[in-house]
Amino acid sequence: MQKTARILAISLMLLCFISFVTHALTLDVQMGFDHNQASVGWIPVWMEISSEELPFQGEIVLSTTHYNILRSQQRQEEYRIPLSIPAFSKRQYRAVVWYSGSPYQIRVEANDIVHWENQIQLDHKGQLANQVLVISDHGTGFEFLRQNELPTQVFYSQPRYLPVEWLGYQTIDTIIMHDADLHALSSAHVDAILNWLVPGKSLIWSGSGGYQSISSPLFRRLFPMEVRLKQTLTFSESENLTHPLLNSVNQLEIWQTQVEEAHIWLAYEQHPLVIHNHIGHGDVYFLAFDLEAPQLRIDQQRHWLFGELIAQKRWPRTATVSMDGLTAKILASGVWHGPSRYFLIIMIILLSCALIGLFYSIQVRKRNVLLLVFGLLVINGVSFLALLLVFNDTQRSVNRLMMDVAFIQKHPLSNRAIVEGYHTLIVTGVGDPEVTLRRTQGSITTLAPNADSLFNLLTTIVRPESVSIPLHTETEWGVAGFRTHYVAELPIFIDVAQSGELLRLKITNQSEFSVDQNYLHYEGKWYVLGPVLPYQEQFFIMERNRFGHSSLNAALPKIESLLVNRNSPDVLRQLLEETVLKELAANNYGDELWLMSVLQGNGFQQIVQLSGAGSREFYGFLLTPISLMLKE
Amino acid sequence: MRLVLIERFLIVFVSDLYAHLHSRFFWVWNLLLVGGVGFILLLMWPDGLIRGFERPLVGVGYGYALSSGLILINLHLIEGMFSFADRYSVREWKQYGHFSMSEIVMAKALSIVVLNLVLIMNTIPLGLLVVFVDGLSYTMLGTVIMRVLVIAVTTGWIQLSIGETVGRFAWLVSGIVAVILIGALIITQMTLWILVGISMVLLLDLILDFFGLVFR
Repeated sequence: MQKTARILAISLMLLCFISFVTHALTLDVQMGFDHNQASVGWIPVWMEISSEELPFQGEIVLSTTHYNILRSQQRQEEYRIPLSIPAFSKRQYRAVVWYSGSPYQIRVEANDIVHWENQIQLDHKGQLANQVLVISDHGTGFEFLRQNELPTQVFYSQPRYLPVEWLGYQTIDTIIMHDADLHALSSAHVDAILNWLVPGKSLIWSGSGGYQSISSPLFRRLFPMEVRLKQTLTFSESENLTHPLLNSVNQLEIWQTQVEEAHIWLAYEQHPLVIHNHIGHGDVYFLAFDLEAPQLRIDQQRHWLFGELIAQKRWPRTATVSMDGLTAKILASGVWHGPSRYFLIIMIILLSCALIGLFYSIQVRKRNVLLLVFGLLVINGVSFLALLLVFNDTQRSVNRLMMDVAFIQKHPLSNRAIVEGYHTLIVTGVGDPEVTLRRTQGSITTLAPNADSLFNLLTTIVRPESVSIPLHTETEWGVAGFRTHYVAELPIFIDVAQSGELLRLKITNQSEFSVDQNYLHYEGKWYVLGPVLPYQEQFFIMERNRFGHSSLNAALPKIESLLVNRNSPDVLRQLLEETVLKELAANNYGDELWLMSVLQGNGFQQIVQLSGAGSREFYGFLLTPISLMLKE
Repeated sequence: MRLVLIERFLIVFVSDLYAHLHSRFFWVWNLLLVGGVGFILLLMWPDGLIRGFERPLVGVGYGYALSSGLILINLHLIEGMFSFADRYSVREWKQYGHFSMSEIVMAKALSIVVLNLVLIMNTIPLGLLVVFVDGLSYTMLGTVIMRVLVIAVTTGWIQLSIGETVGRFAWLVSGIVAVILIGALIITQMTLWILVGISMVLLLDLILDFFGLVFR
């Protein structure tokens, strides 16, 4: 009996102790890449949370400040990630967030009680022409790339910290896989890297490391070839002098590979040294030798090799990748389709006439005053029905209007484009809209710098497994701004050739979009080309220094007459186009050839969908670097 | 023949109402109100762009223009230009008709309600147009109309009291009241129950003359 009482007492004390214990949580965070380095843009966040006590349910809140252009003030923006962790366990969470240069506050909270809090000051790196991510277990060894002619920024990351969304790699131009333990990569990682690669990025796979590296699922997806054991090549003195890479190399250990000749980028006799493959419009290279080989440890050789590979197919980068600076202008230009001023004037005249008619009946014709009641009811009823008849469709569409401004970048010969979409959703009346994005092709960010506070769910992060976001509005009037990043099919191909003073340009439009207008940047001048209809091909021939305008502003068509209704949707569309084109043209394009095209159509509806009835205004601005296609 | 209370009430009410409805000046009021509200709407009409995240201000403009117009009309400030020959004042009804103050005041108060209803109903088509440009929702239009009706009726009642008690300088007092009311309407969120309270007190004073009892 005494023993039982003692056990009970101890159990009670233990229970009391447990009930008083707070949630002992620890959070390990990496933002951006190794050492929290990042440049402005979408950056990956890796978090590992461990609970040393009871199970925990709450939220991870990532907050930062962004300058809100519309409200002219700094505004706190938040990502919220639902968190659920069993007792005595660890769990990893990943997200991709927008980094604008401001520090991030991270906290774990449940029921408005903060259980863990920290501030992350990222090591802000400038966005250079070429951003390289080295995926390696060592975090060093590629500093020589910074001496490249092309200004290059090098980031390092271990495989476990890699994002599982392609958007997390958005700021990166080239990935180098070097001696990394890849067993931590999931199929989502592989899909993300492939999706990032497809529009035209580059990946270089170093032959360092053991067999586990080349037997990884990612390698097999990138290089469909047979890799056997390693062998040692011996070079004669006369041979090795001929090639910058093999200069002063006597022996080199390489992987034996069996690959088609078309894929060999560099070989020694019958032994492939560098193997090349296309993934969509992206390029992948496999270096069959160990970069850490003692004979190759001269920076000059590696410098030459990477300089060649990276320069093979580099996307010229625009000065600003994000259109953040344009958001205010885009949102301020939401075209409104309501009745015009003229309709109001007609309404006032008709109403006055009806009143004069009523006056005439009652005062002059001495009709019964009951006619007044009847007359007023008729006037109101008829006006309501007439308005309903004329504007019902318009009003219904205004009830759920999505402005979709897409900033599209594409390789001239690729049919896959990277789209940065800015969406303004105007919701009036009853019913919450839902926006759906195909997860495999892109991400919705709810951290729209100008998202309206009327939408209370806008700051909830969309996890990779989510496919749609419901936007709940508490009032009858709400506007949401959000941004999407996705890859979409856009079969518009551009070919260019130069002969003497003439530049020939062929635009093949195999898409459903109509190319309203094309503007060519050629030797510092802007040339206005014509439109290209859907499923048509158009040739343009230009003579150097003829009919070009020194600025795009001069090249744009003018709204000439003062009598033009500047509020009509057509004129507003033109004004919006002008605004965005001028902003895009403000970038420094140097002497390179660029083509700016204005697209019209129904938008990329197969990827970003708006639920329920409503209309969608799409404005597409395609920016294509065509210097790389130039043929003499 | 001795008239019962309801009959005397109806005589004053119908007479006052007809005096307005059969006067061309009432219709000029109507046209001025429609024109004035329409003009304000024209000035505030959305220029085709969704500015920032804000709802078009035209709905607010409709409410303010209608309220201000009705305040001016009810305070008889526009009336100075016209004359309603068939309309008798409270004093005249009392003197020539031998009706009691309560009958006259109640009948005139109801007449003000009906006249304001007619004035507001004339501008509802403009309000509906505002709904179609998303300046107001249907619910908000209903709320605005009810609010405007209360403001207009209470202003009419205040003017009834001013007209009967102030005398020669009634237009001056009405002008000051108009400035205060429109200012309160635009600058501050005017609380309607205060306005209703004031107008009820003034009406009761007309009937019971308790101000006269207190300040004599």
